[in-house]
This record gives sequence, C-alpha cells and structure tokens, in this order.
Amino acid sequence: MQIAIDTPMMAQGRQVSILSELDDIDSLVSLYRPRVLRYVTFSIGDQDLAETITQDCFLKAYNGRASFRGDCAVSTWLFSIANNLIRDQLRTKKFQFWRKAKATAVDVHEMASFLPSGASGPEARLLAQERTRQVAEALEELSVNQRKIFLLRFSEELDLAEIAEATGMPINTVKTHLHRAVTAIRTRLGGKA
Amino acid sequence: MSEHITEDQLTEMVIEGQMPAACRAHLQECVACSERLSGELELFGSSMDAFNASTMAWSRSRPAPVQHVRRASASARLWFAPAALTFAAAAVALITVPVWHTHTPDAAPIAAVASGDNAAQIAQDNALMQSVNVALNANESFAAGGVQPCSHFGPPCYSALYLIRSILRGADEILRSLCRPAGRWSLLRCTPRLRTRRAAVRADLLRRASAVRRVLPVRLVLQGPPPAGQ
Repeated sequence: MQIAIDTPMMAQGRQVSILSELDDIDSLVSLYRPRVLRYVTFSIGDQDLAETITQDCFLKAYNGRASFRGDCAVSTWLFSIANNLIRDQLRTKKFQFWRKAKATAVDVHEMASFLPSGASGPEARLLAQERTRQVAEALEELSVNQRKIFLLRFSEELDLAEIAEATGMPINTVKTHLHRAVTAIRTRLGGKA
Repeated sequence: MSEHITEDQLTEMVIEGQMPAACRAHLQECVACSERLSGELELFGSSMDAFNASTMAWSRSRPAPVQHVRRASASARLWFAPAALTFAAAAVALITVPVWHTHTPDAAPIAAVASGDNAAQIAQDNALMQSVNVALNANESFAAGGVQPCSHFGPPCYSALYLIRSILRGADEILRSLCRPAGRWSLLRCTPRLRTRRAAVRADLLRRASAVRRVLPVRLVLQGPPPAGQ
C-alpha cells in the first residue's frame, strides 16, 4: 500500500506529481469516479444517494487536496473520504427512512444487463448476468462493514493494509469482516456445502 | 495423507489468493481437495469478474454531473478584502445611524408640531432643504431637480429595501441618501423637525455625515456657505 519513497528528493517529486494530479479535478473525476460510484452504490444500496456522496467525495477531495500527504494511493484516499461520507449518511434518519422504503434501491437486474459485449456467446452472457445478480443479492445480505470491505478487496482490489487505512479499522478487524463476507458470498453462490 | 482442506482454509485461500505450504502439500496428494479448490476458485473468480465488469460498465454509463469548482484567482482575492471591509462598514453604519437617529433628543417634538403645518411653511421648509442640499451636494445632479413637499409627518421611516439597495450601490450612496432632502425614503423627509430647528439642520447633517465618515472609507466633500435664514 505504502508508496515506496527512498529519498527525500523522490518524495518531493512524488508529492508534486500527486498534487498536480489532484489540481485537475476533471481528470480526477474522469479517472476515479466510476470506481468510487460503484463502491458507494453497493456499499449503501442506494443509487441516488450514491451519486450525491460521490460528488461530495470529489468536492471534498479537491478542497482538501493540500492535506493529502501522498503516503497512500489517491484511490485509497478517495475511498477513505467516501467511507467517512457513507458513515455520516448512514447515521441520518432520512437515510434510514429511504432504506426502508427502498425507493431508490439498486436495481440488480438492470445492473446485470450492463455486461459489456465481449466475445462470449448468449449462454455465457446469461450465465454472467446470473452470477452478477447472485453476487449483488448476496452483498445485500451482508452488514455494511462486511460489504464495504468485500468490495474494496474484490472489486477495487485493495490489499488488506490499504483497506484498513481506507476504512480506519484495525487490520485484524478487516480480516474478520472479510472472512465472514467471503463465507457468506460463497454460500450464496453455491460453492460452499 | 494429511487432513482434507477445511472450509475456513478455502475461504482463506480465496481471500489471500495463495495457499499455505501445508495445504499445497495436501493438494498434491488429494485429487478431491484439488478439484474442490479449483472449482471453488473458478466459481468465485468468474462470479466476481462478471459482477465487476457489469457494475463498472453501469458506473461508467452514469453521467457525471458538471463540477463547478470555484477557483479563487489572485486578482479576486485582491479586491475581495476591501469589498468585504466596505460591506461590513456599511452594515455597521446602517445599524448605528438609525439607532442614533432614533435616540436624538429632538425626536419627541415632531408629532407635537406636525399638526401646525401648512402649505406655506412646508414650501419654506423645502426651500431650506433645497439650499442645504445644494450646499452639501454641489456637484450632484439630483440636487438641481427641485424639492417636492413632503406629506409625511410621522416618525422617520426606514425602508429595508432601500437600505439593502444602498449597500449594493456602495457606501457613497449611503452618504447621498443621508443628504437627499426629499427622496422617497430619505432619512430627512420629516420637515416639521426642520421647521422647529432650522438652525440645527446643517449641524445635524454635518454630525451624521462625519459619523458615517468615521466608519466608511469614503470621502465626503461639503461645499458652500450655510444656507440663508439660519
């Protein structure tokens, strides 16, 4: 997770590079928005709210870019900001109301149909859509923390230390949540007896 | 042969993406565990690949809202500080001047003398106010526009809209409104006060203007001699 910085000169160069990257908010959004939006959407299970949180996340990142030390990847930093926003949002009663109402819940079937058209045939596409739907439904049954950590590990491909940093949890807690999440997903997918 | 791989070990392998040395040794011996592991990894991996591909395609398809981020330029910062200071000073003046005006000791006789007004006296008062206005605003165009009789004899009335507009127009406009004799919302529209205390009008104006001048970063120029009749 940690960017290897051997000399102060390299650290300075890296810092300048990251700061200039963060200065261009258009590039920042185009590069990271799909990942952040996907992560937030499946973490909270609400499309509309996810759009809002994602926008707030980039705005917060841009406004606070001077505080970014560069000791982790930009994506990890963005995910940590998103996590803070998600945590704040989960506490609000408004969110709890809409969660019960499920008015803007993620449409799993719609999402599964977004499978990019590759070389696979119709049967393979159907199978892939079915698996997408199974994973999405399995995610809904996880706790928020389990879901966030699972997504960071298997969708965003962060390692355990990065997940610990992005979520602000001890690494052992991350492992515990991840273990339970993978067990639940495996059961749902039918791999576990 | 060592023990078969447990579910927890399988989960660990899925998480870590690699197998422990002990498990590796067992998998070389046990065909069942080897097939089970490969099937498990294939199912989980392909499911996650499909999920990630679909969701990323969906996420990319969502239109990104236009981000309007205000980037403060150096020139903007240069004018912002004086403008903020002027605005704050104008706000202070708007609060202090009316309060001060309300608490002046000559506010009480206004109603008492108001009933004795007639058209001639009002015309005389307005002539006086016009001369004061010319003296205070020799270069102002509105000073030559004539003064209309004021029919309102009640206590001073302050329009919030006018005051807000004064803020927006700048501190200099506030000074003009103090000196304007017959403007619709003028602070000096109450002619009975001027009738009873003609000699104090100019001093009052000067006092107010100098008070505002103390808090506003503008220049006030008073020209001409005191009006005749004092």
